Amino acid sequence: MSATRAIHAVTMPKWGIEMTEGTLGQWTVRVGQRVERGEPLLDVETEKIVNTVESPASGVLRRIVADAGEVKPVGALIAVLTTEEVSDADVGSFIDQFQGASVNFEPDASDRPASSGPPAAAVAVAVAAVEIPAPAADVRVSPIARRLAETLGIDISTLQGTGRNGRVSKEDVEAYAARLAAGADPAQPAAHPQPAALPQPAAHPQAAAHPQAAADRGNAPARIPMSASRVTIARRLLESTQSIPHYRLQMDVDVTRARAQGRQIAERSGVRVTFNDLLVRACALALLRHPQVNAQFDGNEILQFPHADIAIAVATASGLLTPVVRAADQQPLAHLARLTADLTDRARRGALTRDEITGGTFTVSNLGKFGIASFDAIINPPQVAILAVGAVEDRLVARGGVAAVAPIVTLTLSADHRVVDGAVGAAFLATLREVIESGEL
Amino acid sequence: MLVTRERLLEIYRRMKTIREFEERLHVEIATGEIPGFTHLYAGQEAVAVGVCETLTDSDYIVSTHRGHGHCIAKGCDVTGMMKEIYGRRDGLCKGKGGSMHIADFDKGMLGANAIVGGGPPLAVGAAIACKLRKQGHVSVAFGGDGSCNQGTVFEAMNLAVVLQVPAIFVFENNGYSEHTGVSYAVGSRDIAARARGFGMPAETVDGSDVFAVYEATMRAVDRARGGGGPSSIEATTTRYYGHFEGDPQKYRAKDEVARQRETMDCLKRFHARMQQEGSLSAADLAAVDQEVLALIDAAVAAAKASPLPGLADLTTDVYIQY
Amino acid sequence: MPQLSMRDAVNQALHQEMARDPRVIVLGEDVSGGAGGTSGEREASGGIFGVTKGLLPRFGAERVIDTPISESAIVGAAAGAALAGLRPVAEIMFADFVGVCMDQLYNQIAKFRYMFGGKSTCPVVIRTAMGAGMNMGAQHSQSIYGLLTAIPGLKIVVPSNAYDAKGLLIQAIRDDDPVVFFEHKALYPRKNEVPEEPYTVPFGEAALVREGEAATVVALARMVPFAEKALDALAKEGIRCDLIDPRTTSPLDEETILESLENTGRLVVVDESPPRCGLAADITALVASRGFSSLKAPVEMVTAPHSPVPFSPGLERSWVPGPQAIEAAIRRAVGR
Repeated sequence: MSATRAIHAVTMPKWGIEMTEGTLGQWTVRVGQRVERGEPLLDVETEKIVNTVESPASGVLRRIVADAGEVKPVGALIAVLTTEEVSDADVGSFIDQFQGASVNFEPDASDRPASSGPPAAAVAVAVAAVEIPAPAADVRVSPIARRLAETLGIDISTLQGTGRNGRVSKEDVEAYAARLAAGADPAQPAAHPQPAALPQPAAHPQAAAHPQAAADRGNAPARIPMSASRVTIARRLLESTQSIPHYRLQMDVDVTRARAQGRQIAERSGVRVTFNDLLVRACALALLRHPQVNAQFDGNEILQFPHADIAIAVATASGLLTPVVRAADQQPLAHLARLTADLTDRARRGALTRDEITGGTFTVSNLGKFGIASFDAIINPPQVAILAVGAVEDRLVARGGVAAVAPIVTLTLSADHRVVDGAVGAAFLATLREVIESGEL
Repeated sequence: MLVTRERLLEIYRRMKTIREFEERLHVEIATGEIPGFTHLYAGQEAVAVGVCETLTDSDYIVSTHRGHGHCIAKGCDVTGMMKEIYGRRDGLCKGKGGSMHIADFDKGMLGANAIVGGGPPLAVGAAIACKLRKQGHVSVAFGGDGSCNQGTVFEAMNLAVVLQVPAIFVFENNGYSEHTGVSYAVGSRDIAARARGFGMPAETVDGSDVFAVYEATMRAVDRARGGGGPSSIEATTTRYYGHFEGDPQKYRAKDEVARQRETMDCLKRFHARMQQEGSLSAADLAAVDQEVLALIDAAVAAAKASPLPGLADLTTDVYIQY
Repeated sequence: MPQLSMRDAVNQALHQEMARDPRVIVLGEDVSGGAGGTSGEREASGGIFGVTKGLLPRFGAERVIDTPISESAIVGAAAGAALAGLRPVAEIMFADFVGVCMDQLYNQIAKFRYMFGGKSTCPVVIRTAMGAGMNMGAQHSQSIYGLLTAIPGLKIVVPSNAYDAKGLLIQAIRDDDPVVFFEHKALYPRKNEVPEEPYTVPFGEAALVREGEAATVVALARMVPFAEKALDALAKEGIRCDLIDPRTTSPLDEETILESLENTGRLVVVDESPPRCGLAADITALVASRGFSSLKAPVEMVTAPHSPVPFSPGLERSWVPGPQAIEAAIRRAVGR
C-alpha cells in the first residue's frame, strides 16, 4: 500500500449490481485491535444474502461508526482503519469529511433526457481508400424540394441546404423563393418568411398531357417555368376566386369635369396627372364616406380603416404588381400623381420594397389604355372590393331628352358579398360617380 | 524456450499486473464507486499470459466478460483500462463499454464480449482475414468452461475446421460456469475431447503453469501459422473470486479458495521455479512487485480524477455516418 | 440501356465490387453450391436464388466461401472478418433465419462501434431474401426489416427494383457501417433499366416514384409496384398521389415524407408485415408527432394481419397487402 493512504475507510460494501443497502451484524473485532488484510470484521445482511466484510488493509481499527442492527446504504462509512501513526484529530476530520459513493438507480433531477433525434454526426473518419462517388445531381436535394424548385423555375445550384445531411429541403426552396419575390438579396438566408407569403404551385404540373401528340403535329410547345411571382399571383387569384363570393356592379360616369380639374392641377403644379390618378383620388374620397368598403376581412373579423390605402395595379414584365398609395384621401391630387408615378416607375424596374406592396384597403385596376370598354376585376384578399376601370370613350348620352356626346368611362365594382351588401356596394358606386362628376377631387 | 532474463521478467510483470489490477478492483468495487458488473480474472493469469506471449500485435484475440487478464496480457494500456472500468470519458472505450466491453484494436484485441460464446465466431472471422492475407497471423478465441456448451462455439469450431483457418480456441476451465460446476454442466467432462470431435487437434494443459501454457500454445500457433488449421487448448485453472463481484460463492466449499491460493497459485509457482532454476532472484521479483503496485495505484488515482462522459457523448459513435 | 432483373443487378453489383476491392469476400450457405458434392461441379447453384452466380469461378474459394448451416458462425465470422479489415458480404439464406443468429446482429455487430468508443469499424453487409407470396410457408416468408430497423447501429436497406438494388448494394459494400440488405424474393425477376457501370444510391434518400397531390403513399419493396398498380387505377379518375419509396428504413428519409404530406395532407403507408411495431406504425408515429398540422385525414395503414404467413395460396394472397387493398386505402384517405 502506498504511504499516502494511512487512513482507510471501511464502508458498506457493494455486493452485486442490485445491492443498495445492508444491515450490520455483530462486529467481530474491537477498536484498537490490529487486523490483517482480508481478516473478517463483521457480517452484513442484504435482501438476498449474508456475507462477511473483510478488512481492506492491515492496520489498527481506530473507530467504529455504525453498530450492529443499523441499516446503511452502500458506500456509507462504518469504520476507520489506520496503517500508520495517525492522530485522533486526523481520524476525526477524516470521518467528518468522508463522502462515500452513492448507488442509486432512480433518475434524479439533474438527469437530462437525450433528444430522440438521429444519432450525433460523428467526426469524419477517413477509412475507406475508395471514395463513394458523388450522386448524379450537383446539389443534393430532397425529391419534393427538387420538384418545387423546378415548378418555380428556381436555380438551386447555389443554395445552402438545411435539410437532412445538408440536403436542400422544401423549406429551403420556399424561403429562397420568398426572398426572390420580395426582391431581397436571395443569397442571404433571412428569417423564414410567414407562410402566407410562400408561393405554392397553384396548379400542380401534371405529367404534360400528351405533349408528344402536339409535337408530332409540328406544334411542339416551349416549356416556360413559372416565376416565383407568377406562382404567387396564380395562387392568390385562385384563392380569391374560390373563396370570395364576388358580385359586380357597373356604372357609367361622365368624366368631363374631372378631366378639366386634372388639366388645371397639372398646369399649376407641373406634374403630369393621369386619368388613373383622378380615379384613385375619387375612390379615396368615396371610401371615406363608405367605410364598410374601405375594409379588410380575414374570414373572422372585419377591419375598417380610417384612411384609404389604395393599391394601383401595374402591369410589369414579371406580372401584375399592386403598389399601395398610403392614405390616398390625404394626398392632394398633385402629390398623389407624383406618388403614383414613382410607384409605377419603380414597379416596372422591380425596385419596390416589400412594404410598398403589402396591405391596401382597396384596389383600382385600369385597362382603359387597351380600349377595353369594361371588365370585371378579381378582389385582392383581404380587401373586400376592387374597381375595374375601362377606357374613356366619347359616347352618345341623353341630356334632358337631347342627344349629346360626353366622355364616359364604365366603372365596374367587384365586392365581397359576405361583408359588402349589394346596397352598400351600390351606394359606394353612386358616391364615386358623384365625386368624379363634381370635379372636386 | 524462453531463456532470457528480460523475457522472464516480462512474463512475471504481466502476470503480476493482472493479479494486482484485479485485487485492487476487488477492493475498489466494494466501495460502490465502480458501476455495473465486473468479473475478476485473479487466479487465471498464467493462461492469458502464456497464450499472449506467443502472439504479436498483428495477431488477434477475442475475449470474454472476464476479460481484464486477456487485455493486459495482450498489451493494452492499464490506465486506459482502469478509466474505462470507472466509466470515464478517456477510458479505452470512452466510457461507453465498461469492464465487459474493453477493446484495443491497435493491439489486436477485438473486444471483451458479454455474450457467452459470442467471441469464437468473431475469432473465426478474424482467422478468415488472416488466411486471406497470407502473412502468417493467427486468431485466438478465449472462452470458459461455460462457453464450451454454447451453440455458437460448436458452430465456430466446425466452421474453423471446414475452412481450415488459423484459429486457436483456448478454453479456460476454472471449474465453474457462473454458479454451476463443470462436473455437472459439461456432459462429456472433457472439453479437449469435444474439440477433437470437431476434427481439430486439442491438448489439455495445467493452467497455473505459465510455461506449460506457453509451450502448448506455441504448438498450436506454429500449426496455424504454417497453414495447418485450427487447434484447441483446455487449460485447467481457478478463479479466486466469484463469477461477478458481489457473488458470495455459496457454491464453493468454504476453504476452497484459500487452498487454491496455496496450491494452484501461478505466481507462487513462478517464484518457486525461478528460485529453483536461479534465473531470477527474489529481489528482481520484488522490484517488479513494487513497480506494478505503483502502476495500479497511479491508474486508480487517474481514473478517479478523470472526467465522466457528457450528454454530448450519448449518441456519438452509433454509426460512422448516418 | 440494358434491362436487368433485380437478381442479376445484385449479382452484377457483387461482381463489380469484388473486382474493384480485394477485401470484399462473400460467404453463406450454397453461395456457390456443390462443395463436397459428388458431381465434380464446384458451382452447382450460384446461390439458392442464383444471386451469387459466377463469383466462385471468377474470384476463387478463398473469397467466395460456402459454409455449413451455421448462421451464428456465418454472421459472427463475417463480423470478425470485418473487424479484422475485410469487407465481407454474408448471406442469410432466408430472412426468417435471423432468429438463429440474432445475437450476432443485435448484440455484436450493431453495438461494436458504440461499445468500443468509436474505435472499431465493422463494414459488414448481410444480404438476405425476404417476403411472402411464393407459398414458402410461415418460416420462409417473413419481411422482418421492421424488427432490425429498431436496432441502433444497423443500417437497413430495402430496395424495390433492380436499379436501386444495384446502387444500394454497392453503397452498402462501400459504407463503413454495418448494413442488412433485404431482397424481396418475389422481386428477383422484376426488370428495370440498369446502367452497366458501377454507381451508388445514397442511404436515407427516398425515391419519388409517382407524383400527385391527392395523398402521400409510402411503400417498401414489393409494395411499391403494388402501389403503382393501385395508382394506375386511380389515375383514371384523376386521383394522383405522391408515391414515396424510402429505399432505406434506417436511416429513414423522414423529410421527404413530411414535405410531401405538407402538399397532400393525407398519408397512406403500406408495409408487407404484421401491424404491431412495424414500419407502418413507425412512419405513422413520425407523422403524428412532426407532421400533425399537415394532416387532413386519419393515416391509413395497409399491412398484413397479425398472424404468421399461411401456406394455402389463396390465404397467402389475402395475407399479402395487394393493389386492391392499397387502392381502397387511398380512396378512404381522399374520401373518394
